[in-house]
Amino acid sequence: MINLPKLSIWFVRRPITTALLVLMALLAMTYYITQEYYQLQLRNASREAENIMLSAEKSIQQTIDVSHLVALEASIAINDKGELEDFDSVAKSLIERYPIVNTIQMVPNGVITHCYPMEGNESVIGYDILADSSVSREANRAIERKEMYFAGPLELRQGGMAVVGRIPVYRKGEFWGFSAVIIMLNDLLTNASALANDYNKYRLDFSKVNPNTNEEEFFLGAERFENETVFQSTFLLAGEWTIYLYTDNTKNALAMSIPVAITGIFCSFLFAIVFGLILFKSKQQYREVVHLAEKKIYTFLNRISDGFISLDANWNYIYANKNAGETSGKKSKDLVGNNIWKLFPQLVDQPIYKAYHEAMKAQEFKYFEDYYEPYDIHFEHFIYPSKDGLSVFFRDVTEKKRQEREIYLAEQRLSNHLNQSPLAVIEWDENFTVLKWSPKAQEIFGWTEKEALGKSVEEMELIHQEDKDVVGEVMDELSSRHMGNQSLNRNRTKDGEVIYCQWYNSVVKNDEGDVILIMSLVQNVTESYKDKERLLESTRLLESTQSMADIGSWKLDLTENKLFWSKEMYKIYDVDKDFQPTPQNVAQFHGDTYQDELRKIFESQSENNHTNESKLFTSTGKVKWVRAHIEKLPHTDKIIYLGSLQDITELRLAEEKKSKEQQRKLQQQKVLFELSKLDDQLSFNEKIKHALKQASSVIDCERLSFWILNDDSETLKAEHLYLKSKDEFTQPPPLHRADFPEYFKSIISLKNEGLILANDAHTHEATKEFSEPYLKPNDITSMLDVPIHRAGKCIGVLCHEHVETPRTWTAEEITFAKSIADLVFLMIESEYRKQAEESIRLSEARYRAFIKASKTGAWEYYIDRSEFWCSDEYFEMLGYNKEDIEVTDDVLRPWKTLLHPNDLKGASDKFRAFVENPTDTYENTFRMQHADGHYRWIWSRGYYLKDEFINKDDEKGRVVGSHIDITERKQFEEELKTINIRLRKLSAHLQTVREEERTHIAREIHDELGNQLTGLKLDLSRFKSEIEELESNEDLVQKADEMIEKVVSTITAVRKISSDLRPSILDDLGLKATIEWQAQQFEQRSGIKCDLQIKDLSTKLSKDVNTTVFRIFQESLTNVMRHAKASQVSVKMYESHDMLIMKVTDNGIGISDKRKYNTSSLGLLGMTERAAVLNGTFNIENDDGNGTTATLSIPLNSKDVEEIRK
Amino acid sequence: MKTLKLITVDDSQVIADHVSFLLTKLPWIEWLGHAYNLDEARLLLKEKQPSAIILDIQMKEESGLDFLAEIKDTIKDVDVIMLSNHESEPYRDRSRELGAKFFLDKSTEFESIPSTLRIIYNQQKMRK
Repeated sequence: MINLPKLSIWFVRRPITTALLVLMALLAMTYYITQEYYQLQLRNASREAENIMLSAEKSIQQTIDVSHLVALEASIAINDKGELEDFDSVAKSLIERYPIVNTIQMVPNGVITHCYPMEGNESVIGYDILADSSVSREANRAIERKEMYFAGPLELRQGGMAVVGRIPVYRKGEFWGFSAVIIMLNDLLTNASALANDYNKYRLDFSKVNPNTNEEEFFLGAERFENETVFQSTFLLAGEWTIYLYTDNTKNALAMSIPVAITGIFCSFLFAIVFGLILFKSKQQYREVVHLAEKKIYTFLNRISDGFISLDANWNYIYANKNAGETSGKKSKDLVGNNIWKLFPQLVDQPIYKAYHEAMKAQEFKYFEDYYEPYDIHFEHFIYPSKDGLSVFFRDVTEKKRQEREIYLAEQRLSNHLNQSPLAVIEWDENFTVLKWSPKAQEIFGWTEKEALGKSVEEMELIHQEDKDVVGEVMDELSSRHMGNQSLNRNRTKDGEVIYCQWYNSVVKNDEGDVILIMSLVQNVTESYKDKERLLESTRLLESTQSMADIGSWKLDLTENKLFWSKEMYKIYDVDKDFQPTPQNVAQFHGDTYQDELRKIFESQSENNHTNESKLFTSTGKVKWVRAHIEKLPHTDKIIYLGSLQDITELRLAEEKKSKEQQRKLQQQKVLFELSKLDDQLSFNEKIKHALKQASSVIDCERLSFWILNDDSETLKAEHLYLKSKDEFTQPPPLHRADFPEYFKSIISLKNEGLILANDAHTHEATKEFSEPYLKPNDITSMLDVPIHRAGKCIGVLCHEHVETPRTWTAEEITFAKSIADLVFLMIESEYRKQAEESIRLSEARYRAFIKASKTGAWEYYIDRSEFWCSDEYFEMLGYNKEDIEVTDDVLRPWKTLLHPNDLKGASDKFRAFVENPTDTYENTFRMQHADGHYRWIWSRGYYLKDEFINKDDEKGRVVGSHIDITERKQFEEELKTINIRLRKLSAHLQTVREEERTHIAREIHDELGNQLTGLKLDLSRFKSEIEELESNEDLVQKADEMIEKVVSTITAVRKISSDLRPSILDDLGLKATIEWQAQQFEQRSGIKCDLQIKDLSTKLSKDVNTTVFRIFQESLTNVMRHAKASQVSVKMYESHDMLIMKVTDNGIGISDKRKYNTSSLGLLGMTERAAVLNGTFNIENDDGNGTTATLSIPLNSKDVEEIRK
Repeated sequence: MKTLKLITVDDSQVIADHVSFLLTKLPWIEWLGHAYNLDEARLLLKEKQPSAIILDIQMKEESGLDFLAEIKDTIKDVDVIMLSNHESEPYRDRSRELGAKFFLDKSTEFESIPSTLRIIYNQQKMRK
């Protein structure tokens, strides 16, 4: 069960505030994303610029290298004597080979003497550059450096902007002059800026500090961008130039990030509004929860045995419980929503119609009894009106009524029907047909019961002919006026014998006053005339009979003011036999009402008989209920009243008790009903308090409390304890199982219907352990504890604690207590449900909103059921409406239909594989067709979920995922990849060209020049030995020696230049030998010990691999020498799994992160790029400050390597 | 054996001239010819059957080291003197590995050619 935190409800109730909060959060998120995007753009721009810069640098470097070579080769034309031989042909071949060189000049002693081509350059011949101060400074720099130095860019005398590269040439140890090459600035820069021009957002510029003015001069002066970023690179050695690369910032990262930011802000606002609206809607849906609670209550009401209906103000049924339905002969659900008077038109104009309307109008509780003729049913109705309608409890009391009537009749019969009497008892109907004929009657009249029954008075000729008139009057009085009477007349027996009979006639009526029968007591007084004794006897017998029926009789002679009592009367009034009753002293026993009624009867002189019931106070102070019957004695001149008095106290008490019970039951039901309809806005605690308070008053219990049993069933915590006498709630300390093991055991083991009924709590098995610590201090005598169960487990207890006097809980109270416990359970359940519903609704709303706002397509796939669900956006992002998509038996078909044919198999196989064996996450990328026909790249991600609520144990669960359109990202990636491949190809090409040039130049100067110089040296040696033979030529010999030495040193220099350009060993002897040789050279040059471990190296490495490995090795060693401050380097080189691995480890200070990640450091970047060309990798790691390890790995014999190189 | 039968292999005219100058002064040398490339050298080797060769390493696109290996594979009793501008240790080592008798640096040890040849001449004489 989910416990929804109060905080969430707070949010739901305040949609606007929440929406604002969400907006702020989303704006923050937008800011973060934009920032990240901006950084990404920035990094890409920077990388691109660096690549361009690198390409420019490489191009210029290449030109410098070529210039160097050309100038050097041109100087070969200078012969030993410092004269130029064959200059034009040498220069011509050089310019043909290196078209970038525009002009070659020979400048002995600073004067331009030779120029190739001569055309257009005639004007410069004879120009002394050392004499011209504007040029001499840069020319002198070449002399100072003893290597090529580029002057310019400068305006050529022959026209055009150009740079001039000069190398100083020495002959016989002396400065001879310059060998110079002129390269047109345009040629130099066109090559350099070729790549930059491919983009329209870069421009390249070229500057130099004017040696004369010391000001920086720019040579291209391209138009500046409004806002630009500058990269620069300085070529100090070659010409002190600086290359600038300007990037147009208007096409930069910031500009590209602005649309992202605007979209983000727009989405944030949209989402916040949508979210707010949804919350607003949720707030309204609160009512549904109320409805749910009511439904539970009604289920409870169905258990009430009486009928219960709820009507709205328009007389439509809102609710009817099961009994109400059964009573009306319809199903209760058919009633709901229908108008009661339309459904039961026969009720209109019945008393019930009037009663309901009256109650509604007056807004007051109404009790109403009704006899419903069509069904022959008596109903009683408890009508509770409210402004919204009526709630009515009603029940069938037909049976009760019938019983009451029968009891009443039986009582009447009992009192009047004196079977034991010596008098004959005859019952007549209104037509004086015999209904009952007692044995005595047979004795008197001779007719047997069998003969008499059904016969009328006339048929039996009971009345003496002469008395017929008198008797006729008496009969008329009985049948028409319903008055009891007496008569003495002559009758006839069956045998025709005439007898004298005393008749006591009375009329028996039902409640409505209808005559049921006429009863006659008959005494044959024929004998009494002769025998008074027998008459007296008879009178005594009458009295004893009366006594047996608790009926006293009296006779009041008002004329003489005399009162006679039968024996029984004394008993009723609790007076002794000596009491002399008079009309006056009897009054003391009766209340005023009784007296008043008597007086009225006496005053009216009515001959009707009267019956009433009243209280009387006996002489001993007892209160008794009596039923009095009075009638005037007819046919006398005196005013004589005869009366009977019946003690009906017990009957009355029983009735009162029954009525009280009825009232209490009604009150109980009323309370239950009210509690079940508690306002749902009330908190759970308020509801509980309400219930405790109400229940306490109904059940009349001093202490009523509700306890919650914690999850481990170890502690009972009192939520509330209501003290009835103080009308206050307290909270007693919690109870622990360790202290009251029996009680805990008892409530936990009790099943649904069980409870603890402790009439004497001190002795009850479960509660006696409370006796000392709890019961006595609180004066508790009896307890009634009802456990509350949820899902078969006890979760709490409703405790009734009665104080002071012991109490025996009645079945009715127990039932009520259980009902209250049920109600509390419903409150708990409703609270749980409310929280759960709320939580579900909230998370659902949030989920929907996120899908909508994020513009991603959401989908869910139920693995076992093969059900597929997707949000509208799933198709909207592809330009379709969800409705347009045809739903088929294959739930994944819409997806598969739109998949790109090339992705269909791969993507669906991947999905199926995931579904068959689901793990945490699913990820897939494929193309789907947009409604416009184009394919979009979709990134699908999913999570595997298995909810215990939704999925059963044996089910596989579901995959919840989203679709994101990554087409643009994909395109961008592709573009970047293409650019990178192009750059890499270009870079590789440049490297190769450069390397080939170097190889070539190195060979040329080493071999050609080397041989020439060797020859020169040998010539000198021969010359020397020739002059040695002559005398007094010591000066010349010495000179020759010096020359030889110079030639030797020149040879050494040439060899070094060649080897520096590219060691021929690499091509001649292979990689291993080169590395060993290079390591040795390195040791000598730097003094750093170099430890080599070269294992199992294939001899057939390609030229490219050789070059790459060697160059990287060379660069690594240079880095060690320059930066590492190491004393030792160890180099490991081996082949493993078709990979060539080289590790260069030093024991120096370790590479700094700054240097490592400095992207403008061309050394490291160059190495990485060189490795990448061969599909290899290069990386450099800091060994925790204990040195640096550079690792190169290159795949061997890979086809990819070949492809990249193409 | 009165003379040392010798051929020289070098692509450089300058070097060829100087070698020629040097060798013609040595009466115990029977200089059988000069080759400017390896094809010529192979022809000479086959026709003249020398017992000693002075061999350059780098000749245009060809390598004297390859030729050295070739000779040592086919003919056993030929002594080879490498004469090269590539004076560095790796070249010396490789030449030795491949069976060259001597290694002379063109620029500094050119003058040692006669004495070196003499050693070979003497050794070959001893062997005979």
